[in-house]
This record gives sequence, C-alpha cells and structure tokens, in this order.
Amino acid sequence: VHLADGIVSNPALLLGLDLVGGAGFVIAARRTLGADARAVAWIGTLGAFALAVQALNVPLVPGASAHAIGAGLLTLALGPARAIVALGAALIVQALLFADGGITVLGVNLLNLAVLPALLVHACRRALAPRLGLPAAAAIGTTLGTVAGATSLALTLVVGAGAPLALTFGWLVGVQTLAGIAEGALTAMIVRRLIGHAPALLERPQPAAASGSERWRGLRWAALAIVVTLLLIPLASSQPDALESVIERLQAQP
Amino acid sequence: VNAALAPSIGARVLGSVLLVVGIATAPLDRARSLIVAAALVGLLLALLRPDRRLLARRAVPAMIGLAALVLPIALVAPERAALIGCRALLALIAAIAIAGTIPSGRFGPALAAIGVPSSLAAVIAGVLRQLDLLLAEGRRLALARRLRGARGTAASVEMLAALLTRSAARAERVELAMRLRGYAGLAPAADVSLRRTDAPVLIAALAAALLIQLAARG
Repeated sequence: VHLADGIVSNPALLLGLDLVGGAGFVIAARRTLGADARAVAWIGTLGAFALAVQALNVPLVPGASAHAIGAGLLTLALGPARAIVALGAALIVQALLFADGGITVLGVNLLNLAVLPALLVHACRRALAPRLGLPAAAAIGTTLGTVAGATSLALTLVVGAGAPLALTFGWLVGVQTLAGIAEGALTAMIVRRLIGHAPALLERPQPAAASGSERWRGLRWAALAIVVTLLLIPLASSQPDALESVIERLQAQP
Repeated sequence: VNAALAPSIGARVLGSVLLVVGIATAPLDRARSLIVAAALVGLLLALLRPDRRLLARRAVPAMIGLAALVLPIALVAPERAALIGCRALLALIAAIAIAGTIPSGRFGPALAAIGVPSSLAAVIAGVLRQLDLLLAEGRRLALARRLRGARGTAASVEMLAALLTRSAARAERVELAMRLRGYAGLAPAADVSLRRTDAPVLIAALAAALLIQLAARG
C-alpha cells in the first residue's frame, strides 16, 4: 500500500524515514548506475514492466497486489540493487507524474515497497534456493517482503499519525500477510514457468562490484540518516504529538 | 507569447514539490492552516483548470487507498481522522492538478534539468518511454489468451511470464540502440531547463507553502 501525503503528522519521523528509504535508494543507484547503457536500458525497461503490471489490472486472487509480484520478479531478474532502482524509478514516476503515492513520503514508500521487499527476496534466494528450489524461495521472499513493508507502514502510522496499535497492525499487517501469501504463491508459479521457458532470465545476476570506499560511503549515508533523525528529535514540537493526544483522549474517557 | 511565458517543466516539478510539502505538513491543531490550504488549492484549480475526467480517474483510486490508511484512526479519533483526511485530500488534488500539466515525454529531461543525476533521469525517461509499449503488449497478450479460452489465475501467470520475457527482449534491443547512438547520459533539454521567467511561479509556490505554515502560528 502506498502511503499518501498529509497522513503522517510527525515531521521528525517523516524526515528520518525519508532519509533511510532515500539512502537505500541512493546507495543502490550509486552501485548500479553510471554511464553504462546496459544498466540504464534494463533498469528502465523492467521498471516500466513493474508499472505496466499494476496498470493492466491482471486478474489475480483477491487482495493480491501486482506491486509485490513485480518486486519479487525484478529482484530475481536484475539482482537486489538494480531492482531497488527500477522499483524506485517507478515510485518516483507514480508520485510526481501520476500523483499516486506521496511526494513528502517518497522515501517511506521507497523503504516499504522497494528496499525491504528486494532485500528480503534476495536474502531468501541466497539462503533457501539451494535447499528448497527457486520457486519456493521466491514465494517465501515475496511474502516476507510484503509483510515487512506492511509492518513498517503500520509502525509509521502508529508513531506518526496516532493510529491505534492493535487495530492498525490487525488491519494492515493482518490483511497484507494474507495478500503476501497469495502474492508469494503467484510469484512462485510465474518463476516455475520462467524456469521452463526462459531460464537465463533468472540466472543469478552478477552483483555490481562495490569498492571498499563505496561500501564506506553507504555506511556513512546510513549513519548520517540516524544522526539527523536524532538531532531533530529535540526540535520536535512541545505540543503532544499524534500518539500522545490519542492516549490522553483515551485516558480522559471514563 | 503564452508558451514562452509558461513555466518550464522543471519549474512545474519543483513548484509541485514545494506546494505539496507545504500542504502535507500543515499543522492540524489550528483549522486556519487547512482553510488557507483549501483556498490555495481552489485558486490553483481555477488557474490550471485540469481535465475533470483525469482528476476523477486519478483521485478516486487514491482516495480509496487514503480511506484504508485513515480507517484505524477514524475508529478511535474521528475528528483527527477527518482533519488528516482533509489535509491528505488537499495535497492529493494539488499534486494531480500540477502533474496534469507535465507531459510524460519531457519528465526525464526535466528531472535532469533540476539536478537529478543524468543516469537516474535516463532510467526514469526509459520507464516512461517503455510504459505505453509494454501496456499495449500486455493487452495484446491478455486478449490472445482470452480468445484461446484461457481464464483465471493460470492465464494471468502465463501472461505475466510472457510479458516479463518480452520486456527483457525489449531491454536488450534498447541497450543495443543506446550503444549504437553512443549513449553518454541524458542531457537536459533547453525547453525543460529552469529560466528567469520561472521565478514568479517558484516564489508563488514557496510563498503558498509558507503561508499555510504561518496561518497556524499567526
């Protein structure tokens, strides 16, 4: 689910999450993009595939989102860093050109819909594919990616918009877990078909070579995001935030 | 003369970001800031006169998503949920109205013109260039499978797998074409770059964002 503009009321949290999601995207983009025509052509075209799959309204099982299936397939075909850039490019287009998903929460959506799903699909591929096979690993990775994105979104709503904890987790994480299982199963079916018809597409992509300095630069970005968030906390409003106001309201009730 | 005075695409993107940030971060403890934001969005709609069908086509699905996110808040704090919903709706309408004035073919070069790295701008331009082609391809694949009597999830799986393989084949052709043309990044085109005549639009967007913030504090 895309987070929209204007829902999160805590600017420090919003900026911190935007920095974390943005840092993940920037690190992936720096590792994969350069003056290389191959990376630009593949990431651009498969980013368009991710958007097209959503726009086509493909009949899937109820509750399933084509977004998660796109994240799973792109990670298997391109590798995690290129998949993050492709999904991120699709999210940027959606936010700025189609007004779908917020501009101020672009970093949050990058984190929930690109960085977390791609990293989890890749981790499952590495850990589980040799033992369980690629379709099963893809199914588990896609499901976990959906659940992780929904959990992060629910936490953002609870802390940043005063949403009630149990209700929000039950609603968002519960429904998304069911959807994630369906999306994982569909991804596994597509992967099984691709293994039969286009196995080269799913061969493990060569990871972009990262030099030692690039790795340090990535860590510096992550550290900067955490430091900025910590520095902003004392500057937050002295007024009760969204969560505190809801707690006060609930306590005031007999 | 009007085309020459119209803000560049880069300025429209920047203006959209400034205005939406101003609306989306409007404090909720004073209704005044939302009233000012509503007035400014009304003025924006009167100036840009966006296509009503486009506005409805984009706003309705976004509002359903918005309702799903605000629902848990509405169950414990309906007043707060209503304020959040109003703020989100105003930001959404402003974003749709401005996005409707940005031609998709010029969006990538416009991003390069406002400082986005040229390789990322090239990827985004590539996404937009391939999107219509892949949508048409997907519709053809879906129609072909329907005509052959394929239905349900199995047909969708078959269609998505075929669309992914065709996307990969297209990516190979795009790469070859880029190499043959001597690709060296996406250069910002003159018609999308920021120019002096953009200053009033950018100042107005910044002033609107500040006005919304100051309205709550005044």
